[in-house]
Amino acid sequence: MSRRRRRLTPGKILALGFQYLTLIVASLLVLMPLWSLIISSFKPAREYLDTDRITPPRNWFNLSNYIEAIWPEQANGITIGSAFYNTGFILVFSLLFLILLGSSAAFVIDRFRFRGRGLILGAWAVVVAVPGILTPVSTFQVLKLLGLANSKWALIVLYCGVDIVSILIFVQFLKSISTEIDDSARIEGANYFQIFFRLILPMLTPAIATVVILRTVGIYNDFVTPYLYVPQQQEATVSMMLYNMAGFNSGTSQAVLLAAIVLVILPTVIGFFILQRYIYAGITNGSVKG
Amino acid sequence: MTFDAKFQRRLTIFVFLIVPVTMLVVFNIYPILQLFWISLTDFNSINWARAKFVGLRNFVDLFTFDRDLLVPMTRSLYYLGSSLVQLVLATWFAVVLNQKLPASRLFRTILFLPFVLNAVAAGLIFRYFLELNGAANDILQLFFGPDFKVTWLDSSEPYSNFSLAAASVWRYLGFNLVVTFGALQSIPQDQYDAARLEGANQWQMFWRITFPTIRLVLFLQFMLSVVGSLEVFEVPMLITRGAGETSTFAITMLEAGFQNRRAGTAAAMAVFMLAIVVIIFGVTRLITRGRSAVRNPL
Amino acid sequence: MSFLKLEHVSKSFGNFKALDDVSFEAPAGAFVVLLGPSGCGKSTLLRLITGLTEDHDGEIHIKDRNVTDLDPKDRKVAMVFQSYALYPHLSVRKNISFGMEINRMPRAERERRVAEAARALQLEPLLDRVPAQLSGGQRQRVAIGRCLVREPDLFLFDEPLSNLDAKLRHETRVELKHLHQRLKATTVYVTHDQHEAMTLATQVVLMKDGKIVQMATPTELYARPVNRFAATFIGSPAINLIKGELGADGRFKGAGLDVALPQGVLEVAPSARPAELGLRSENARIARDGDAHQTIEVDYVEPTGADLYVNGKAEGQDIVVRVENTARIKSGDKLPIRWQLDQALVFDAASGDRI
Repeated sequence: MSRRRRRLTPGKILALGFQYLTLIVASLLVLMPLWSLIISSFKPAREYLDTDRITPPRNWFNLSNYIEAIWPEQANGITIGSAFYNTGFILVFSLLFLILLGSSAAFVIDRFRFRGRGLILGAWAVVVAVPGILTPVSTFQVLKLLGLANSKWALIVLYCGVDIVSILIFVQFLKSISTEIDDSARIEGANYFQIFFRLILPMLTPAIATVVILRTVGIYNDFVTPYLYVPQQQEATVSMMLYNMAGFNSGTSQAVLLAAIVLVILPTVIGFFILQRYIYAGITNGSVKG
Repeated sequence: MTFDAKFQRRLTIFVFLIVPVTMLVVFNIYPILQLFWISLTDFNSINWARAKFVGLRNFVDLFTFDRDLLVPMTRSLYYLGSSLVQLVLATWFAVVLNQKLPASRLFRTILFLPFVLNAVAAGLIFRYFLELNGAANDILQLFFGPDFKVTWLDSSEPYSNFSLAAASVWRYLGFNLVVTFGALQSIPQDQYDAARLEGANQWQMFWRITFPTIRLVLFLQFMLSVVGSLEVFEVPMLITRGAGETSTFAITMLEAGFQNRRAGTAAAMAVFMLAIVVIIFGVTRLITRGRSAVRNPL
Repeated sequence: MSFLKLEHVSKSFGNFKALDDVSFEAPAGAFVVLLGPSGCGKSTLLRLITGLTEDHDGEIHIKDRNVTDLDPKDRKVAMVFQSYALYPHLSVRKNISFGMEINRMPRAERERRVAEAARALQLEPLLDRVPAQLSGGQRQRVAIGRCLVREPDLFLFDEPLSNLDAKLRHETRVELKHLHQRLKATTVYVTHDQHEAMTLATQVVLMKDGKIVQMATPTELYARPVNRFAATFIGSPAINLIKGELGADGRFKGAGLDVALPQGVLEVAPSARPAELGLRSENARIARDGDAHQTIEVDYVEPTGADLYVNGKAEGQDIVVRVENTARIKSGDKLPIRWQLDQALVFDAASGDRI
């Protein structure tokens, strides 16, 4: 709907004003909890107890809570550093496997027609429909059987398992890569492995980027999977660390906990501002699966 | 001809699919099957050897003795209701922002922000906001006096579910906004221009051009939120630990399975929920068959 | 001894018969053009020759080898695709040497061949660029370079000019012709553009619905098409087909014409039947002093600089003639024409075959 500066009737101004009002109110409601979080994280213990939750701190540069969060005086469960390490470890390996397995599977699905293709795709679709929250009883048994229970590898394996959205992203992108490339390489003598690794995979870079961004956000923010399968301290991810810190028998003071929360959301917020466009694009395309 | 093209093709297909398919079977199909099996036993979560086959007893109990276990399902209604509100709001904002007014980008960023936050962080942030001496009450005190306090999160009171539902809206509104916005973007400006030449006003343009196009996307989002509210877990778990009146079906099921060691019952609950979800998806499929709002890449 | 030989090749996709008993031969150094409308099977045939499409009846021989059961990489063929299929993330140099790398050719040999191809195709300044930085014509040269370094027995082209604009198409066609003259490489070229076929081919294989309609040199195809389809497909503007009657006396009557057909026009002895007289637009001239065969009512004229194409009707049938642009003709005029009847082609009205 194009803007017309000529006919700005009172009715139009009213309508526009109302729209902006709703936007502003909504934005304030969204930002209020975040504001409260941030200002409280900068207040040292005394000030924290004395003030309410909406006035800014006296000193914006007071990092005492943050320091306490990163280097706690008493060992109090896992440190933030270890949690970030665990999460990072899981992220790196999950993404690696995800990209490798997902792109190669997508390649085969898109380029070849074979018996069982429909069956596999059907099975994938069905499995995706099952909410992950319903199967922990049995999934945990399987993990136990494989000796993976309570380790980072349990999460890695689960994250790179059935990711139909990533595969769909790859398949969709593959459709834009002409099969003449495959044909040309075949005439030149390449086998399919060479075609995939030397030609197709490098050409998939934009799709890989999208998958990396979406899955990083997904894995980093995930709570349910670590909660169900890797709840204990040593292998804690960032999610579980926060969860335990906020637990009833945790010794962490509230302000320090808030500082920890800020630290945890900082990477995603920064990443979000930089990569906004890709995240929106990924979600809009990812909802194709509907 | 052993290494010819046909063989090579088969080999490639096999090698590239063996791992994903194995994982599919091991971590998805098998657990689901085992779930069905467990639901027919009295497995106590620890000793598989002592588990006895009990047929459909778990299911029968679910609707008789253990009827209490199903009560938390009612909480899902709060979330369902809030999802509807969420969708309407998201559509409203998507339409408003689609007009490319100044600062559209900024608003979209702000509204979407809670969605990219870590789940635990988001839950804790909102819990902190609604605590007795939290910012929400502080703000209200500015208007209603220094002793005004609302107990937003009293898990012994059913109304706290509204607070939790609000948390859910806070977190997921941005998602619906972006998806609906994406759908709106696919409508070419020409259609609106043509309508305007014919004298249509904003309201008419919405109902005759915008709505029919995004109708399907909205419907799909709605179905997703129906399933989502049935299996809601994160928000209540993180904010009130699912205590008392804020418990949900999923929370109760996990409790039964892991804390109360009644894996058979828990599995039966899971199967029950699964059946409902399957029916919902089936209905969705039926309604949307033939009409594609988006291309299916497969 | 023929270099390329196809014997009774047939291919079906499910119920659809794409190729029906196709056989032809070509000597070494030939430029064979597979010509035909969309869906005639020419691309399928090309893919069968490369080995990209498998499972067909019949045999294919390249340079005395029976390649019917061989994989593409064993057939010693090279192909330029419609979209050139250059590898976008590799430099020109790497694009050209990709095949050699795959086949583990020693580096020295690889570099030598790349340098040679680059020289032959004037690609030297572009060797380190990426396909995205090249123009359409440059990309095509890279694609050809990729073929050259394989030193194949057979070169194959799949409608390579269809992605280019008209001017570039002309220039590239000329380049291709030069290349062929220089390299004397046996080539199979697929196109639907009869103009390309006429200018490039040493022999044309005209196809329709999976069958070969006619195989001949371009001139032969133009002058002696075997049936109506061949006659109308070749030549632009399309040949005029005048419907009428052929008499047992060798006279043709139709659209205002009543003429005796000269010796040599008919292949067989005339017999009375409905027929179509084929006359190309350049076989006409404006009649003088009453020697007109026919009068045309002018519909509209198309000046093309040097010539003037007059579109009109004679007794309801459309006719196009080409005259010099100096003539002043306008819509509505009545134009008397005289035909070069010894260039005429006569077709049986029912079967379409040339008589």
